[in-house]
Order: sequence, then C-alpha cells, then structure tokens
Amino acid sequence: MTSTASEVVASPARPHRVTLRKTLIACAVLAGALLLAIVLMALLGSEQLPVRASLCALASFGTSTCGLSQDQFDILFQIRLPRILLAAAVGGSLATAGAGYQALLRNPLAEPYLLGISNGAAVGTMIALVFFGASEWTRPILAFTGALAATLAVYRLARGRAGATPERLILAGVIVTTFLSSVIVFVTVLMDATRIRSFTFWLLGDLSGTSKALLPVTIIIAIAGALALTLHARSLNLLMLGERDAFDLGVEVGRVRIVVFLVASLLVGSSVAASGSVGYVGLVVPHLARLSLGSDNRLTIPAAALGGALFVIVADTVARTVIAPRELPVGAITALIGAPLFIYLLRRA
Amino acid sequence: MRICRNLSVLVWVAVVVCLTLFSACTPRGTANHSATREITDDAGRRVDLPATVDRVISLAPNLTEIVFAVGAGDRLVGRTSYCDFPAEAKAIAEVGDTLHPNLERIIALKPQVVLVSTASQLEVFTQQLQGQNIAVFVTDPHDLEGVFRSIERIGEIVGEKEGANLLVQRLRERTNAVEQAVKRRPPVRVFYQVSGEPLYTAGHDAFVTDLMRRAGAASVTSDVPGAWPKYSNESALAARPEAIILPSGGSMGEANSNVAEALRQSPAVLRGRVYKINDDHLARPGPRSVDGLEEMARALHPDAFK
Amino acid sequence: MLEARNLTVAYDYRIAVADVTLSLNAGEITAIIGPNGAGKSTLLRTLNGQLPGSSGNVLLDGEPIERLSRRTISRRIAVVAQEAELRFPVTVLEFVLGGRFAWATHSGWGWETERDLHVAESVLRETELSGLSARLMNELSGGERQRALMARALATEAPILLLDEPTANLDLSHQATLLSLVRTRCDRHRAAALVVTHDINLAAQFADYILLMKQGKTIHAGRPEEVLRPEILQNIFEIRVLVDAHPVTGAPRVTPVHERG
Repeated sequence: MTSTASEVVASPARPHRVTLRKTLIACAVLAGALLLAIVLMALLGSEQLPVRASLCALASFGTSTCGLSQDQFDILFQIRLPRILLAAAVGGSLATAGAGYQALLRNPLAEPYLLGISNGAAVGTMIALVFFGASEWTRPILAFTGALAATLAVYRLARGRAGATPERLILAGVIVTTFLSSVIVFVTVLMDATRIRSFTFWLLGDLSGTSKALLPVTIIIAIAGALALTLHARSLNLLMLGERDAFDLGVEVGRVRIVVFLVASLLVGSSVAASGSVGYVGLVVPHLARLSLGSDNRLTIPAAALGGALFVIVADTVARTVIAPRELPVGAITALIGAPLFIYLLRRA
Repeated sequence: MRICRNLSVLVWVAVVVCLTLFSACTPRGTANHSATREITDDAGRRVDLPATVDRVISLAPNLTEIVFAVGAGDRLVGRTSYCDFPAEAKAIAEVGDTLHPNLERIIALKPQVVLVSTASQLEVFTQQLQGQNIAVFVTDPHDLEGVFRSIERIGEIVGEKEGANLLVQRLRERTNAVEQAVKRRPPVRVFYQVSGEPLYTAGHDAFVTDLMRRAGAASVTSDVPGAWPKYSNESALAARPEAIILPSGGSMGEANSNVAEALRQSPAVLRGRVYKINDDHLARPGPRSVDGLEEMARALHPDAFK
Repeated sequence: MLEARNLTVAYDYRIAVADVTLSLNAGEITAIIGPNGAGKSTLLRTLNGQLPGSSGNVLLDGEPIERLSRRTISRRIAVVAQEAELRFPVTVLEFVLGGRFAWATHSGWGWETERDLHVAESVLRETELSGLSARLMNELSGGERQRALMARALATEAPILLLDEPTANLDLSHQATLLSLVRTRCDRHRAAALVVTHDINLAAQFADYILLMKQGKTIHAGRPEEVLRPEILQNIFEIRVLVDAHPVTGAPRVTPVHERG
C-alpha cells in the first residue's frame, strides 16, 4: 500500500488494456491467418491436386480453371472449398458460443458440448430429419429450438438459492449432456439408420455432407452471431465479474442474458444441424484467446470466432487426410487435440 | 468357550465341504454327455455338438436363409427380427435383433446350437451363451467360397448334408456360368455405394468385393482397408467410376436410392449406368448372394447374357 | 438526493424492511447499524433499485426509482460491495475502468475515452493503487482489492455511494483509510454516502447520521451522540455496553461489557 518512490517512477507507462487499435490489429492478423489456412488446406486432401494450378484457380475465384482438369476443378470448388468454408463457419460459431457462455455463466468451463446444448441441438435436428426429412430448412430451426430448450433445462437445473454457481452449472450440464446422449443413441439405434444419421455423426461430427443451400446460411449465422455478441462485449466484461456488480454498474443483466442465450443457441443450432456435434472447440479456443489476449471480450470474442474457424479447418483437414481415402469424424480430432491442450492450459493457469 | 469354538470350526468345515461338493455337482458340459461330434467354426473354435440337432437358433438374416435353403427350416426355433426371408421364417419366434439378441429368450427356447455371424459383433454374447452350455457356431465368410463352406457346414450341423451339398453344387454351377460369361470382357470400374451421405463404400474385407470381382467388375475401392469404410468425397469423384451399384430395396426400403453428391458428374451417372440391386442379395452372405452376383453381372455386361 | 419513504420490503413471507423512511443528503455520511438479519443489506439493495419494494417509495432525485433506466441509476448511485468474483484474469486498471460503463455512448459496446482514462487514473491515485494498476486483480491482497472496489465505485463519478460492509475484510489502517476516502468525497464533491456496517465505533467516527435497525424496523435515527446511548444499544443488541467519548476525536465510543461467568 505504501507508495514508494520507485513505484511512482515506474508507473508512467500505461498498463495493458484493450483498445480499438489493438483489437483491429489482432483481428486483422487472425483473419489473415484464416485466409491463409483456407488456401493452404484447400491444397490438401485425399486426392493430389497440382499446387500451382490450384493456387491460380483459387486466386481467380473459380472463374478460370488454370489448367486443372474438370474433375480437379470440381474437387477443389465443389467438394473441398465448401467443406473448408463449412468448417470455418462451424468452428467460428462454436467458439463464439463458447466464449459467450463462459462470460455469461462466469465459468471458464462452460461450453456448448459440455453443457448439453450441442446434444439438444442434435435432438432437434433428429426430429427434423424424422418428421420433415425432405425440407432442409427445418433442421437449423429445430436445432435452434433444441439448443434453446437444453439451455433452459441447464439453467433451471442449476438454479439454487445462491443462484447458478459454477459447480451447479457444470453438474447440470453433465446431467443434461448424458441424458440427451442416451436419447440420441436410443433413437439412432431404434430408427432406420438411413433416415437418421448414425450416432457417431451426432456425437462426433462430420463435415463431409455440405448442403448447397445451408452453407451460406451457416456462414451468415456465424458472422452475424459473432458480431451480435461482440456488440455486447462490454456488458459481458462486467457480467463476467459478477452479475450483481454488473447490475450496479449499469448493465441490463436480464436483457443481455436473453440476447446471449438466443444468439449462442442459434450459433450452436446452425453448427450442429450442418455437421453434428463437434466438441472442445467452444472450450479450448476461447481459453487460448483469453490466455494470450486477456479477458476483455471486445477482443476475445472476435479472436475466438476467427481462432475457432482456424482450429476446425485444420482439424478437419487432418480428419480427411490422415487415413486417406478413408475419413475420421472431425470431432475425434478436435478432442484429440483439444483435450491435451486443455490439460496443458489448466496446468499453466 | 471350547464348545463354541469347536462349533464354529465345524460350521466352517461344513461350508467348505458343501461348496466343494456343489461345484463338483454342477452340471458341466451336459453337452458332453450327449455330444458325439466336434466341428470347427470359422473363428477356429472347436464346437461340441449333439449327434442330431433339431433345435437351432439363427442370429443373422443370412444364416436363417441358409438354414431354410438346406431344407432344415423345421428345425429353426428362433430368429432375429431382421430375418425376413423366406416367408416361412416370419412364423418363427423372434429373439431380438442382430446386435442385441435377448439372452433369456434364447435360453428359454432351449436350442442345441446357436448360429452367429461375426458381422454382428457378438463375441461377448457368444461367451454368455457358452456359459449356459449352448453350443455356438460362428460363421465369418469373406468371399463366395466362404459362403459355400458355411452352407456345407450348416448342412452338416442340422443333418442336411445332402441337401446342402446339392445346393452348393447348383450355386457353383451358376457362379461358374457367370464367371465364364464375363471372362473375356474387360472389367467395369465400379463404385459400390453403401450410403450417399455420409459416403460409405465397400472396402477390401467386404464380402461383396469378391462378388463384384466375379461379376466382372473392378471395384475402385477394393484396396481400401477395412470392410465398410467411410470414404472421401474427392476420391470418389476422382475415381470416375463407369458404373455405380446402389444396394437398395429389400429390407432397406427406399434408402440409398440416390447417388452421392460427389458422384453426380461421374461417367457412370452421365451414361446412366447406375444400378439398383436388392441389398438383401448383396449384403447377406447366403444362397441369394449368387442372385446378387447374377444381377450385377447382367447389369454390367448385358451383352454377355443375351 | 436519494430517499426512502415508508419503505417496506417483504419476500419469502418475511418482512425484511418495515416502514423505513430515510433520506441521503449531499455531503452527509449515513451509517446503518444493527444486528444480523436487521434488514440492512436488503434496504441498501432496495435503495439502488435492485430489489423491488412491496410498499412505499424509493425516490432518486425526486423520481420513483422503478421508472428510471439502469444506466441512469448507475450514473447517480454507485455500490461498493464486499467481494468481487474474480474468476477471470483482469488488471486493476481494466477493473476500475469498468466503472465508466454507465457513461458509454453505446451501451454494451464502445471504447473508453480519454476522459474515462483520466478519471480512472485519478481514482487510482486517490485510493493509492496507481502502482498496482497493471497487476491482476487476483494478485492483490484483501485490502488492496477492497480499495479497487472503492476505486471502481468512485470512477462512476456517482454522487451517491452505497457501501455494504466495506471494512469487513480490512485491517485497522485500511478501515480508516477507506472511510476517510468516503469522507473526503462527501466533503469535497458533495457526495452522499450510506454505509452499512457492523463497526459501531467506525460509524460513530465518520457518520453524520446513524440509523439503528432491528428486524427490519428503524429503532432509532439521528446524530451519533443522540443514537449511541447505552439504553438504546442494549435494547438493540441485547448486550450491556458502556458509552464514553473517544479521548482524541470526542466521538462516542461504544464498549461492550461481557459478563464474566
């Protein structure tokens, strides 16, 4: 407490805080890395494509074949690129949702997968597949509903006299996750496996089925969701430090809570409807972002979104090349990378 | 006191004696008493069987078909819910599905032997049945020859050796006829689509890969390790198959009736060489596999069968 | 500035605050003293608009507080609570800057202005935390953390300060420092402060006005000399006390007398 002379001398440099400039720089770097990743991963796959011609074709945005055969062109632009873009959208959505939940629930362990929200979205999608199979649009809508229902269930379960403490929340999340996982397995075993995907799809994710119609929707939702949460970042900064304090300082806690729940459910719903549950993204990426860039959500939310896109793109590339021409579910790779990474992060903290 | 201590010692001795007697008395291998023959199954296990078998349970659709085909349908007392061929099979009691058959119901039907297909991943289950002194016979055909062997073995088990041999002989004749017919024609490059989205195909260890080879097809995925691998969309596209086989219909219903997205521009689709064949003729290693063989051969080499 | 008129707050079938009337005036420190369960914290929470009153009014600058937006209230009233949840790493400067939220032009988003920084730096100086501004909050000691909470409240530039047991975790020297800060604010900036505390003697020293509560009711209210009298205190706390004048400050000094058994 004593203000010594040395402290007075040492204080002129402004200590770390997030500014607009820092945010823009960090996001530009990440966005650049993302673009690079998209291009590089587009060169990798179970089929070898000529590098120079592929780069040329990509640079021309598909207007020129640059000497690629029709098949090679189709592989690049009809199969690989859509899949990479889907991976980016899914990764960005899940990481953003994770960051949102962590800030709102004041718990660094809050994650759509662990809280059972991904499974809720999965059940919603399954219902859409069974009852409205032909119409693709019902999937993200019912996935969103399922995610929201699971969120409410977790929140209700976690509420105690003292409010939703982190411990109760994780416990409630585990209960909801395991319950819904069982429902998923139950239904997939009972139902005709051809109408509903196998439960490895639901519980481990799969980016190989890229619906032409839903891809743009998934991308738009990912971007819009990240923007929406970033616009509440300052409120979330305060919420992260205590609901009551945030309230005292002027945050409309109830309204922010609703917005985050809705946006996060939408993000999770659209991801799961497109690709099943991909775990660990919402946990590891925001953590990494916070560890390296600080807890200010104005920076960590966009950073997590971009980082999540990067993470899943890379994981999916591994999933589709490591035992080529066979494929692994992408969720297996995100877990294989994510779990040890998470342990490492926990030990450092 | 002395009396009490002696008494407790006595009680312990009595307990030990009873346990020993009891374990000696437990009927172990009642099958041993009436077993008169031993047969080795596809898993290399030695199976003890009674001299005559008149109560058999089948835990896979293909095995049910084989039992009926060799003429032993009257000896079948249990089947899975998926065993739907021939029509008479539907009258037989169900014991559950291929993945999780009901142990109690099987025991209640008092079979002498239970036929199991490894495709159903029943290893743990097999051990449970053996614990109940029910003979378990495992079949695991990887190719058509393996199927013929299964038919002969099952014929032996149920006492229809002649019927089985006759059946196999006829099936071999038909198979040879097909192979002869397509011998001189260049094999057609085929993609076998198990499901479109996600994309699954038949790999090296799949039974149907052998069938395709005999039908005059070169499966573009015959080298891929495993039996039913999930396949990369790009590789499917790059493979440019000349024909696509869609196992569909039968017990599968309407599923898998559409070619996968990645193959929509393939030579096969552009030339209209997409063939839907009854999945039950391709996925069940049994007598109808030769039907599947003929159907594939006719579809791929129509001019060889004029 | 902030007043409660005949305020009653009931929840869970219990009456936490019964017909309390008080008003906070500029330049004054009001202390609320009472045994546990007297309703002190509930009263504080109702005064800042967090809890709804069951009957009676809370008026902020003459307006019923229910009608005002969260931001408006936060610009006028700042709360210093006992603890901060610090599950995420945040620097002292970032923490204190959080107090400027109510002044953000776009609620929920936006960046701190030069003014915000200036205010933050000056409150850090006031609370003697300037040297620690780059440290993480959870690296601070209990006393330093409490000062950071104070700094954040001061950063809001709100003229009304509500403090809930602010000295609970502080040692002697820090207790005095904190309350002198409040005193300075009230004197220099014409702020009004409400301090809920267990520490009667501290209240006696710093408060202009003391409210004694028991079971939700105001038992006695007035200047420290009027209120801190043995009969009154014995009635409230059910313990014998001795009241004399502090030898240095002259403020009433309350000493409990423990019966030796």
